[in-house]
Amino acid sequence: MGDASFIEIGFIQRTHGIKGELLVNFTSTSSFNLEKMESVFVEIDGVPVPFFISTLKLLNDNRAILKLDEIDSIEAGEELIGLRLLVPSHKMEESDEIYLSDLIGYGVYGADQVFIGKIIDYIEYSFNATFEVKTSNGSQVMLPAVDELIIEIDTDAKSVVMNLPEGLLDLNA
Amino acid sequence: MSRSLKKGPFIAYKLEKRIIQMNESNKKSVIKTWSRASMISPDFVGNTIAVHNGNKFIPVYITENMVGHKLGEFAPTRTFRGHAGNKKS
Repeated sequence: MGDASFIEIGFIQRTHGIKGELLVNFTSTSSFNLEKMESVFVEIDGVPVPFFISTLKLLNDNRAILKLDEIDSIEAGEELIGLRLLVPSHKMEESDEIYLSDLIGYGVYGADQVFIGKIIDYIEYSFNATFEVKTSNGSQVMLPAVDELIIEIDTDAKSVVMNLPEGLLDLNA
Repeated sequence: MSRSLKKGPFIAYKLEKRIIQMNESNKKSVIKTWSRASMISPDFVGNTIAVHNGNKFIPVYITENMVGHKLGEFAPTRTFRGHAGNKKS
């Protein structure tokens, strides 16, 4: 679900008004402070394109009205509808938090240090984030990405040690 | 119309039985269920339940925040991939 150097924070839902303002929906459960940021990236044709933030009005925890520099008309705004909003991951590194997107490519090990597979993606269902893991035999399994099951994350060794309940690895076999 | 309070919340009988058995034995294994309409009771907390979404089982680790919701809420049946008109060539 994304480039490891960028974190997806939401998407542009629709235009707001006629001056190019955009209604933005935040999908990320990660904490970020857009109000302190000067710029934001919009993924256009798979390429993150930077835009300076002109104004930002937070409506609630999930939505905001965003005005970007150079987007001054409803037509220009409509071009961006549905596109993903990204923020460079280094801008969010002030805290020790590890984001799900950072864990893509990490190896997953069981509590007994047996290699299970590699994280290839993550899916954020409501209240229920899951890792998509490709096992060594080529099959894909889904594992709940919750603190309660994660024993240790080693960023140097790029590994995640999980305490997995019995039967989780052959759910959809 | 909401469900009668007299009946209490709906929890599939077999699912509830297995959860109680698991809590008593202190064993943690995944419980597969097709019962998306079952309400999550406090007994479920700490267990992992694989909820069927019509295609495959989605593992759901039950936390306190989920109590009172239904299992199906955490295993969506549809994947929104955007509108065709919004796709750029």
